[in-house]
Amino acid sequence: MKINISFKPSYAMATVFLNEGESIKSESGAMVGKSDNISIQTHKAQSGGLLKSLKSAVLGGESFWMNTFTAHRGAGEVKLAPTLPGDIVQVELSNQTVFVQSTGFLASDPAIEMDTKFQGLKGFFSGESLFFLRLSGSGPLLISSYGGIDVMEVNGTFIVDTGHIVAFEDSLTYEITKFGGWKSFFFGGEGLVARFKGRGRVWVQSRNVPGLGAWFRENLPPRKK
Amino acid sequence: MKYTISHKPTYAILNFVLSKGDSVKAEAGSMVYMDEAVEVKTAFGSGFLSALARKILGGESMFLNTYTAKEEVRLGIAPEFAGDVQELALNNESLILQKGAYLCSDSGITIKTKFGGLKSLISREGVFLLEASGTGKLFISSYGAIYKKEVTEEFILDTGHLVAFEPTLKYKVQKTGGWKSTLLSGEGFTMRFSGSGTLWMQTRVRKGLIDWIMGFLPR
Repeated sequence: MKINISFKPSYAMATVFLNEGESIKSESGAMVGKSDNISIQTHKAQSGGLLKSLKSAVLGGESFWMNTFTAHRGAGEVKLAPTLPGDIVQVELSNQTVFVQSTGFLASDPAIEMDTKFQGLKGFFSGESLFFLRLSGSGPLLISSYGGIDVMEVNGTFIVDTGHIVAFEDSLTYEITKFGGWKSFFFGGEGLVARFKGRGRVWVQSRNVPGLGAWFRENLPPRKK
Repeated sequence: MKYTISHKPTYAILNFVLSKGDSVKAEAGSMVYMDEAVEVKTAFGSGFLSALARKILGGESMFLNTYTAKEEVRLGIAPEFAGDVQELALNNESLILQKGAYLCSDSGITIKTKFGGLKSLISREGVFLLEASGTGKLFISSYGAIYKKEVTEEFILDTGHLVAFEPTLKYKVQKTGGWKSTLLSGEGFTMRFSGSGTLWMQTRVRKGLIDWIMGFLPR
């Protein structure tokens, strides 16, 4: 499998080249186009029980359905793109686990296991529906964002505005805390932030969807009843 | 203070590496990430009344955060809206900014609201501008890319495309050509700059995006 990402960072699209017999799993609706010899199989987001997929769909903000594309009778390509204008980054997993912000999953090697990590009150208080998909195994993973994606190496404590988190390695722990002192918390415009601890990588996006939403709410007329 | 700007021009983000003691003042809500060894202070922009005026009239947050590095740290600052970030340097001088164009600056630069005068009442982009003055780096943001133009004689700019200009330039708000053009050309009012100085313009207008979306909304 070989992956090319073009049109970064605003309108990124991933072209996945599959050899005969190889597959890629993507969120539903992400396909732009594909070769004729590539089959599509639509299935529940997660192997295992119905409840597991339902949990991902309800809590993880991901589609209940996923598509697996497989090359038959020779090689072929699938082109994939997320819904929002933004970036795509390829992360190569090698027998490890990363957490991806609920809407940040675009595609992965089918060998990578997916589960929803329930964030409990941490996610609840963040106001940014902070649910993460837990992806573990080996192979390529494609994450997508609103805005451009930068990878930050953390060694110690690192603070990220909750709306800007795309993904992080499970070698890091995090807690949701207020930003600075009480005055900064109320007036500093950041509200709650994630405080990562340990050693590992965090992927951040340069814009955040709640900010875009707030701007539209300010400028568009109210929705009619 | 070192920095890079990545993801230009659509989703630009400022990535600072601050040395111990360096300070950056930024619009509230613009922090994306930072190392822990940063002291954050939230304060009214430049005094309460000036901050209030800026909030009500200038379209910016009342509050500015000042980030001071306690050791070498990383700090990411980005505007809320899609667009570009441009670095400018002030040397004991001032610059006039479109409201909303201020992103962050050296802590030595002050930001005040400036009344654009009666002439600006008729422009659809509002009457108030911001004035940045002092010495140090200033970072402005836009919707669309930022284009820099050296004005030597006269230059006419659609009011919505204004980002910033040097106060050595004078301007008048005026109709675009005759009344027929003003009403029907889609250009509305324009600013006629004269004198000699630098003008920064943005290649898109937020109001244009909103008007475009409104056209598709159910009535």
